[in-house]
Order: sequence, then C-alpha cells, then structure tokens
Amino acid sequence: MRPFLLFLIFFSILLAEFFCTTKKALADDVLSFYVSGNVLAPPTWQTAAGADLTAMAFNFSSRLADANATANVDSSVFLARLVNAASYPTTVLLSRPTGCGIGPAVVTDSHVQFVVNGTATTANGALTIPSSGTQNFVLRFAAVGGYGNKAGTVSCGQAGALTYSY
Amino acid sequence: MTAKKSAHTCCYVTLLFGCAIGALSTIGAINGSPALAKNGDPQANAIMAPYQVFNEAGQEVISALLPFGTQFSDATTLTSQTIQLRITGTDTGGTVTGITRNCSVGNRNISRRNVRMLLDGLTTISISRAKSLFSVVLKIDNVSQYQGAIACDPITLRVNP
Repeated sequence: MRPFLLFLIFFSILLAEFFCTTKKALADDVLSFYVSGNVLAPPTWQTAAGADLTAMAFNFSSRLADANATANVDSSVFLARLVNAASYPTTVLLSRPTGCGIGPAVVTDSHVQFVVNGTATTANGALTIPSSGTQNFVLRFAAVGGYGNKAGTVSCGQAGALTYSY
Repeated sequence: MTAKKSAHTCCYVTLLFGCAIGALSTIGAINGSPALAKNGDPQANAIMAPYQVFNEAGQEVISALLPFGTQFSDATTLTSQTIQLRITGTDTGGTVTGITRNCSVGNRNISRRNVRMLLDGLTTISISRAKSLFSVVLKIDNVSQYQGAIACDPITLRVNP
C-alpha cells in the first residue's frame, strides 16, 4: 500500500508541474490610447441668403452694347460665399470658362477674366477668398479684346469652376 | 509624442459657373507563466522583462494620443492621424492587436463594431513585426452626417503571447 501512495504523490507532482509549466501566459494591454478631434459641417458654397449653391450663372442681360469697343464687358455681380473652410483667408482653385461668345463674336479664352471683390484674375490657378462672408463675383470679357460694342446672346462652351479642397 | 499627419485632402467642393443668362495599461508587469522552479533553468519562476512601447522618437510611452483634428460630416469614415510605435520585451511569439471600444461623435454613439484600429494596415500583426516601428491608425466607420466632438472609451494595444 505504501509504495502505491508514494507513486501517487510522485505522479501528482509530475502532473502539477506539467500543467503549470505549459500554462499559456495571459494577454497584456501594453498601451492605452485616447482620442481628440471634432467633426464639423462640411465646407460649402452658399448664396448670400445662405442657400446651398452648386452653380452660379452670370447674367449679362442688363448690359447694353457700348459704342466704345474697348470697354470691359462685365456681368452683373453674383453674390456668393464659402462657409466652413478650415481657415480664412483661404485658397480656391479657379478654372475660367472657355469657348465664350457674344452673339457671333468669339471671345478669346485669355480675355475671359474672373473678378472677385473688384480684383480681376487673368489666369487659372489659386484664388484667395478673404472670409466666410459674401463675396462679389463678376465674369468679365476684357477690354483688350474689343468686345464692348458687341451684342447678342452670351454663352460659353465650357463652364468654369471654383474648387475648394479639404 | 510624435504624430505623423495623414493626408486629409480627400474631398472638394466645386462650384461650376458659366455665362449663360440665367488608460493606462499595466505594461505587462509580469510576463510568462508562474512556472515551478527547476534546477539549472534561470527562467523558471522568474518575472520576465515587461513589454515596453516606444514612439517614433524613441521615447517610452504608456499612453498615446490619436488625434483626428478637424474633420467634416460629409465623410463616412473618420481617420485619425497615424502614429508610429515599437514594442520591445517580446521574445516569445504571438500577436499584437488593437482593442477598440465604443466611440461617439457629438451625441451619437458608435458601436465598437464600427471602430477599427489598423496596425500597418492590419487588425493584427505578429510580435516579431512589432519590434520594428509599425503604424497605428484608428478608423471610425458609418459616421455620415454626424457632427461634434470625437470621443472613445479606453482603447488599448494588446499583446497576446
């Protein structure tokens, strides 16, 4: 009987060692994270009244052909604003319309100017929007082209674009 | 903490125009099994070196910030800035996984099912990979039109030996 008990004790020790030494280690959380940030309404173009805007149509209907060919041909002022930009002043990318004409007269693309708050931009590229407030936009056919005395329907084959990236 | 800013210029708003009239974790304090002592085995019954986590600058860290910065509600997924980490004390095999929790944007709760932590772009990486710098980024999905502050319950980086 005694040898059997000794064997049982010895066997139990062996079993205990086996299970302890092969026990899988526990997972460790080695780092904690915390987060920060804000989600805001996205930037958007709006009318002066605050309505979302996807396109602006420049109106030349109030203009009469001038006797002077070397006068700027300006559209009526279009009021619009860019809201929720990351900061101001901010930069948008201007692409001017092309393929414009006044009646039968063809407007050379390089004569198409985009006027923001009275300052004409003569090339595509970066354009500064000074604030989230309403800005004055005008589409101009420059005097250098001699369009001042032209009459007829104004149209452009390819629309321009103002793009704000974020 | 050195954070690598991820690219966020992913959206744009275009206006066409024409001229027609018209918690601190327990840093793996004890790693390994409480083995019985064995003669001649120096590892037996020993407290092994704890895991240590280092940032990109080589500083040991016990917590890290995942900044989301300013994002916009027209996004369907919010992505934090990316940080780089490295883990040492990982002589054994195993994996590293981000354990995410519920988050919120403003007053909208977001289930942890929509919260993902990517390590080198994966949900799990091997411990051997984690010995070198690996990227960590948090993504919160299905948040379209939600606005407000971003918050999350404690998120941890877990080592499974």
